[in-house]
Amino acid sequence: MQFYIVYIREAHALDSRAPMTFGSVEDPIDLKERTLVASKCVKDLDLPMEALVDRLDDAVNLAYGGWPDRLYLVGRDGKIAYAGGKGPFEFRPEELEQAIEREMAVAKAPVDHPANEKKH
Amino acid sequence: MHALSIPSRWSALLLALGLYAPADAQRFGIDESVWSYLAEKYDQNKDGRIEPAEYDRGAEKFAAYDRDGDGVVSEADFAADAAGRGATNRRRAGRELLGQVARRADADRDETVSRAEWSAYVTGLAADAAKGVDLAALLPAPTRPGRAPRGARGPAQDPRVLLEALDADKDGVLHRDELRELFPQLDANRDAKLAGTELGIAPKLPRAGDIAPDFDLPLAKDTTKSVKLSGFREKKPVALIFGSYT
Repeated sequence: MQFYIVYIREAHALDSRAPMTFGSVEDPIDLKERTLVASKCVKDLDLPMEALVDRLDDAVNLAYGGWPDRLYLVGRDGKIAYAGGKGPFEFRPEELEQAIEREMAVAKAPVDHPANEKKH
Repeated sequence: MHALSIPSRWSALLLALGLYAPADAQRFGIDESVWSYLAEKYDQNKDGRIEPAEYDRGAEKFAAYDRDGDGVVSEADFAADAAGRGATNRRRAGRELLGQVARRADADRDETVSRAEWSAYVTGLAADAAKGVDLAALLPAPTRPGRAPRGARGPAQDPRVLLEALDADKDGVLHRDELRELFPQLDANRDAKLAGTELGIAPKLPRAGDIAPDFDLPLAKDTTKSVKLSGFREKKPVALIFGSYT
């Protein structure tokens, strides 16, 4: 099981339309700045997983609708196993946990299951 | 608690996610705090004004702070009654609303608006070129009978927002020719039709069962190294937590 934070555009940068002074973050103007804020976030919140940093074109954010926050599980087959709702109100870690359980149940299918046979 | 044994570290990770989701914004005193931060960081000569030369993060961001449009950023831009801020918010809301207004011209419901559809729509609203367009008729229809569309109480549904965005000659009346100009304004890719984000339609997001959009992103701890999502195929499931510090 692999976890990644995908660090995206700030939700409440000081120069955004909905500023918050928590963290006093100005909207990063280059990847280096966004990386610094991402690292500070991981450190300050003591988050136990690696962070990946979306580039300033917000391409991955836009592809997944990540802003302001959202959860996904990508299955071993490369398909979306769980697509969470838009945060903050639909950001539901318990749903992700249930999705992980289902995904791991598939992984523990019997060895002689056709899906697990190696192709010759 | 669970039928399957999930390593406890995952539960801890997911609990951390619950703490990580942003809290509700505390809006009181925000403007004061933002000005204090900016003044401390940028007002080098401490004269109570941030000149463009003192700010190095781009003209667009500077202009966003300069709500009263006097060419400098000062405490006045953060005044609680700032009419400037109200106008800024209305301008932003107007841009969002314009896409929704254009969507009303989508006669064949194919989620695009052609030039022909737009022309027919505008003519239908105001057959007489001299007469002003009824602004209320431009607003998006309610999604359910008797219920206002989302954001109805905010500036996004205020007809005056449309006037501010479209009334080119500022005579207080929206004429047919002014409304026609909305089409080229929204046609960002110049393909003679309005579609997708030009109409404020959000891109379709991946759903369960879809192939996950692949990416190759740098690690925060070492940006010389990157992670490719598809590299985990047939190896591990991957949980993605999208978010930011603020």
